[in-house]
Amino acid sequence: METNFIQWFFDFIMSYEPEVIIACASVIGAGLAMIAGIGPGIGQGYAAGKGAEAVGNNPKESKNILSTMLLGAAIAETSGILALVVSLILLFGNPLVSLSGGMVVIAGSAIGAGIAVIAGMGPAIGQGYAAGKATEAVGINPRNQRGITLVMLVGQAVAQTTGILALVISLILLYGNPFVGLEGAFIIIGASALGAGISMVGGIGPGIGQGYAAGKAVEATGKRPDQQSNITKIMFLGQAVAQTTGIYALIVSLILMYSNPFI
Amino acid sequence: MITGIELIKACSAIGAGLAMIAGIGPGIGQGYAAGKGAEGVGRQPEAQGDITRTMLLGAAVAETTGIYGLIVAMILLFANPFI
Amino acid sequence: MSGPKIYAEILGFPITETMVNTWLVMGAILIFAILATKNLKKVPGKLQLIAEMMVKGIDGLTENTMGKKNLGFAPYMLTLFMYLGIANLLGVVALRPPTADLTMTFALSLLTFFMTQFFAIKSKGVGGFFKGFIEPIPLLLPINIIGEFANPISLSFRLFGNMLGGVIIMGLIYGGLTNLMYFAAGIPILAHLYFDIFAGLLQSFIFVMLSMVFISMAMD
Repeated sequence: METNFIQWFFDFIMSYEPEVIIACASVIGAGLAMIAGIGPGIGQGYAAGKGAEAVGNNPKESKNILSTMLLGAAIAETSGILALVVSLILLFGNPLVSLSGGMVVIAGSAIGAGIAVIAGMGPAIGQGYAAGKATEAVGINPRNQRGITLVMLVGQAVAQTTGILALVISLILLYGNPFVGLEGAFIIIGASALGAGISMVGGIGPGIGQGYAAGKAVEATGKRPDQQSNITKIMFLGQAVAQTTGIYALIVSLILMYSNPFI
Repeated sequence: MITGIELIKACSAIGAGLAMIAGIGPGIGQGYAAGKGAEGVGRQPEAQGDITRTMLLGAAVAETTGIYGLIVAMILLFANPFI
Repeated sequence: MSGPKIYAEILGFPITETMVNTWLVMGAILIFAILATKNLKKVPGKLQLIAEMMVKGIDGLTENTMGKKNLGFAPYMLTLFMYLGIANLLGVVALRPPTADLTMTFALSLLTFFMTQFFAIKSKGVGGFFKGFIEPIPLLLPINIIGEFANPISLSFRLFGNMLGGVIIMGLIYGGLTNLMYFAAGIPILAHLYFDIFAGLLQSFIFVMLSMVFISMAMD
């Protein structure tokens, strides 16, 4: 019998109990998911830096500056928390463990579910940028705090979208997995599960970009509060365009899951 | 036993996923354009129409690589030359 | 997740959940339009006041985005916005939004696409229309063509992807996430607020805005 690397690898895997391999894949997935934590780190760090700067320039307003900074940073934390939830599900409440089916498919799904939420890195960086710009703007013009906070919050909410879409894919792989029980070569199905997760990583970009747009809109609102509605309008428009590639990633991921041409 | 064609299909599925990572670029770039657009409207509200137009035109150009990524993913899935 | 349900078949033509829910939305808009414009008064009643605000709002938006000379597009845009707005909000009352079906969003974006082409030819002439594809330099011809066709695709996928994402995640929250439920009982309400109301209205607005911008961009 000829042996090649791939064959050897799968023979090696198959020599273990399925539980062992699924556990391995789950811990790898749990670890990969937490890469998303880079995002909140960068974003909140930027916000904190802007906060320190603003307080330095305008110490009298430190209370307002701090509250804006903390609110914005809390939102930038969302993706980190979502990644943590997926990671904890993989570790403690793993629904894949109890499934019976091809173990390579289940293992692929576990890793894919972890990889998908890495996309959360993007929204977190973007939202952190928006939080920083809002903090700066409040420091410059504290009377306008309400309008600034409002624009920041809507902008951040839009920037969250691709992170949520990635979470959707991750949760489908965990709870509504369409691959388990499919007839066909296990390696194709397993790789499709993995590919569906990898595809969503593209969501990093729209998250960062939309967050940048939100930050600039916040800055502009701080300078021209009378133009808030016009600024928000163009922010939405631009963010919608920036989201396009994130949607494409979702489409490819859904094709791999529900109308896979290979299976 | 894994057949060659199975392996190619498996790799194509992963490859299609990898292709979509290209979406990061347009996402960041178009977002930058959107941000500058918002900044521009704040400074010159009268020029809103022109700003929107320029922003969307630029964003459409920035979109190109994302579409290329999508096209490659679709080719891998539906018109794969190796299968 | 499962696609739209098929209720019946007439002459081999499936009657889907999308179509039925679309008829519901059409009915709602029709009834509102009839009721709001029945016996118009100088001093408006509540319903007339709402209708006047909507017309005024869309007129302002159209004038802002497309210019005063294109105010004629306002009625179409308001119809589009009302349809999309109500359709996207259907998730709140546990109906499947028709906009979570690609056939629906693609049909709507084709309307925008054909309007764009039609008004481009009408205002620039056939020669000017084709000349637009080799501007600013002829080398960009393929990119211009791809860009022209990418518009309706991204327009329809954006709406579809966002709404379908909402439908899927609401389905997961209600159906499968039983072991997550104890985290917070308020998750479904918050999720409805974000996915159905915020995302739904935002995406309707964006679809209408982009339609306006595409059409007015093609005309000059």
